Amino acid sequence: MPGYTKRLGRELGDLKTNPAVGISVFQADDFRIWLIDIQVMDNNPLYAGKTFRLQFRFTPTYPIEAPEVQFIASLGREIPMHPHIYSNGHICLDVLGSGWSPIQTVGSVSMSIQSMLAGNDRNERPPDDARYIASAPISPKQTRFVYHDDNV
Amino acid sequence: MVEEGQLASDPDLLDDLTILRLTQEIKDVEASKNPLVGDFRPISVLLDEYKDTTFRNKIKALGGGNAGYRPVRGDGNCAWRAFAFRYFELLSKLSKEEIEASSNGLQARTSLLDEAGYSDTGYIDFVEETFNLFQKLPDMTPEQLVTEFNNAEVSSAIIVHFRLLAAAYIKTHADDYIPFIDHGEGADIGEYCNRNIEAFSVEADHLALSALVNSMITVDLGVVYMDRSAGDEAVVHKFSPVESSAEGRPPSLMIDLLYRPGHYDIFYK
Repeated sequence: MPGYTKRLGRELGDLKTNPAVGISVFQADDFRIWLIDIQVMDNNPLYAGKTFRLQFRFTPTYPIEAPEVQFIASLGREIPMHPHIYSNGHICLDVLGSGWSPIQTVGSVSMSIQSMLAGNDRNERPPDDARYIASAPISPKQTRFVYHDDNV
Repeated sequence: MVEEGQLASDPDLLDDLTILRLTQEIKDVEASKNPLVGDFRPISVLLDEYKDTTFRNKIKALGGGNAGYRPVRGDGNCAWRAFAFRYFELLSKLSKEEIEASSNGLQARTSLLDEAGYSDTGYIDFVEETFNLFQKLPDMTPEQLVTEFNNAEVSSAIIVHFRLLAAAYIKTHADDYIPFIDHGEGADIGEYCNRNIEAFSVEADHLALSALVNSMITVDLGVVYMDRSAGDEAVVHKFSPVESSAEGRPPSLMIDLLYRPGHYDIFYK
């Protein structure tokens, strides 16, 4: 069994036996795509009462290389409003790009995204949303995001 | 799937699999030109690369006879890979008992990773790869060790292990490192370690090397700086561990690296 499936198997065990508050596995049937539901636990009016769905895509180079992570919309699951989240679900977050390190896990990335939402009070999309989604690559990992504003 | 001819002209049309394939092809071409860890070269080969007198004088002063270097691929991991390869190469010349003592000594340092707050789910595969190599080492030929390090999966895992040890050392000795990290606007040790040490393919800085040596305890590191600074001899920076004895008293090793601006290779005196 290749190394990355061993690692993902262990991560899945952790996520199921010791889940972080507001983070749950919706679907993990293989080692290619996982769907993780997240909720923002404080009373942030932008996200209260809502659940959002993250899609993780893995390749055999995981975890040396980052997984591909984005929000996906489906029934009852919208793309959260955030100045760093595009309306197609792509997320501009350095831990998914140049800040990735192999010690990160699906759980720790989910928590980073959860806290990115918790800390936001702006009900808006990135300023270049329309332009970006018109020409965005299928994979957000092909985008060179500029992490210009860490304070949002 | 789009036509091959369109690929070069319209990058937006590339699908994920095509991108993966093209990326792999580029990596393969690079790999065939520059192995992750190359073969030993005498110092005269290095001398032939330079016309500049400053460099030539410094290279000549490095020593003649048996001096040489071993090139390591410049992929952002070169200092880490060079260090890790030389570590195992030096160990491979020791007795089975000494190798075992070294393995036990390093194993004891795994506690640093827990103290730093890393989850074992996150680190265990990398640590295991290091100790797999320790197991095989007594029976390996020098050529087999080079082959092993040119297996990206193996050497990447060992590099991650060593990166995490160095970052864990900084996190667990924050008071010693804050003054070097904080440039006035406050410092976040976790963020520094993430961006500069834990992130794969980010080149080692001075602090990272110092932390690596401190985390391993049994290794002294010398870095020969082959740059354009004045003088006929290259400056050598020495890194010695703060703590001096490790559990089980494994033998201490001396690793030398050759630094040229932006790149590290292994240096042999």
